[in-house]
This record gives sequence, C-alpha cells and structure tokens, in this order.
Amino acid sequence: MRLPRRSAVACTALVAALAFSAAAAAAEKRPSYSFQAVLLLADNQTPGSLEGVPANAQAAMRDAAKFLPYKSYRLLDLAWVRTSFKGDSRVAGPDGASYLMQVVVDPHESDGTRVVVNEFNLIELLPNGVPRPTPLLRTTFSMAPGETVVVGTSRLDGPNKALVVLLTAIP
Amino acid sequence: MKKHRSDELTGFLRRGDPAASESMPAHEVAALRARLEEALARRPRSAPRLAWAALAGAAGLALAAALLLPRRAPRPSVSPLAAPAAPDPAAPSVIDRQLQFETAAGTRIVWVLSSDLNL
Repeated sequence: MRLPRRSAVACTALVAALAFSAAAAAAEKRPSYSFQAVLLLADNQTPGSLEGVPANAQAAMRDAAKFLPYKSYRLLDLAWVRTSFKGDSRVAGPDGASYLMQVVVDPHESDGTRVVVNEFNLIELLPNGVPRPTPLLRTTFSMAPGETVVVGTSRLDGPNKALVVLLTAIP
Repeated sequence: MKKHRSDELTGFLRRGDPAASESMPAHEVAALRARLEEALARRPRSAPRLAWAALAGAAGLALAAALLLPRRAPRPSVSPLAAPAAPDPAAPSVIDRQLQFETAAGTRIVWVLSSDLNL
C-alpha cells in the first residue's frame, strides 16, 4: 500500500515538528542562572565613590572594604550574564581596556539552593578583540542565590591597584 | 567397469597406431628431454608470487610516504577570532596566590594575588 505524496510530506513534517518540540523541552529542563557583575577599580590615590553601584553590591563592598587595603573604589562597568552553562559579557576596564567576563556554571552541581561557578574568568581583550592567553583573574567558587561574592585581584608584590568584581547570583 | 573399457580403448588405439613399428633414436630422445628441462627451468614465476611481490612493494611505498612526507597539523576547531593569542615563550611564568574568606557579616571574598597583573 503506497501513501499519496501529500500524506507522506505531511507525516514527515509532523515527525520533524514533534522532534523539534522534544528537543526544545529537553533544553528547557536545564535551569539557567542570572548574574549581576559590577566591575570596580580599587585604588589608593585617586578618589572614588560607589555611585552607580546597585545597593546590594554596595552593601557587600562596604563590608569587604574593611578587610582590603584600598582607600577608594570606582565603578568601571556593569554587566548581566544569563546562562545555563557558559556565558560571558564584554565590560570596559580602566584606561580604555576591554575585558571579557566569563561565567561557567556546573549544571550538575547547581540547584535552587546553590550555584557552583566552575570558572569565573576576567580576560583582557587585545585591540583586535582576541582574548589574551592568560586571564587577569581566574577562580572557582559556589554561591547562594541572592548572595554577592566579592572577587578581586591585585599584584602579588604591591597592593597599589586592584580589580574588584561584585558578583551577585540573581534568585 | 570403467577400467575395463579404458583398457579396451588403449589396446584399440595401439593396434591402429601407424607409427607403432617405428622407434625414436636414443640421442633424439635425450635432446628432447634436455629441451624440455631447459624450458621448465626458464618458465616465468607463478602469478601468486607476482601478486605478493606487488603487494609488498605497494606497502613499502606507502610506509615510506607516511614517514617521509611532512605531517599536516590538525585544524583548530575554534574560529581564529575566538582563539586566544599565542603565548609568548619569553614571558615569565605567572605566579598566582588565592585566598577565600568570609567577613563577620557574611560577605565572602575571593582574592587572587598575581605576579603578572598590570593595571
């Protein structure tokens, strides 16, 4: 028994649509996580303020500042990253520099109560957009939804300036 | 039964052979034998041996080509724009120290001290 040509085309389209919906449903099952990232430049010479920094990040920065050897903090850029696995955002660094902020989440270890950031990278971009091979900052940690973690980097041989990222996992 | 009929046929042929009474001289028999032996000694090699020799030659050529031709490097799977710049071999090795702690108010601080940071 042979199916008419139109029926065969209709069947193929139906199967393709079902397969597409199944794939979309499977992709939706993996939760995605949103992060707010605030990039600051910590300094001992130039005056600065936390103006423009979101309130939740300001509170974390004021608390962390008691333990850090810097007098001022200046907002460089803000970014939002939403990802279920690996996301990034380009941010402006000091003196016209461009950075790539990269967040890699462990989807298997993360759940509603804890987000495991397998990799947090801050990578300087060359003028042609190519990332430098060695990141400025690379670390790993876990955080609770709503928590702000203060991630910073400075030189080993002198705390003159530092880059600080206030990373908040948005619940 | 078959053997009996074969013997009958052989006998019939011998009886009807017109050259049965003639015999070949001994020197002609020896010459014929020598020519046959010479021809056998000069026969070409059998086809299977030639095939094996050809196969061995082809394998040798392939091995030599694999060893002597320059190898092609694998193509990177990422686009050139996304690939990081090549590391400078003359660059000093980077030393990182990392510490994580939590303030009394509960703020967690992750700090990386690097020997290579230039701001």
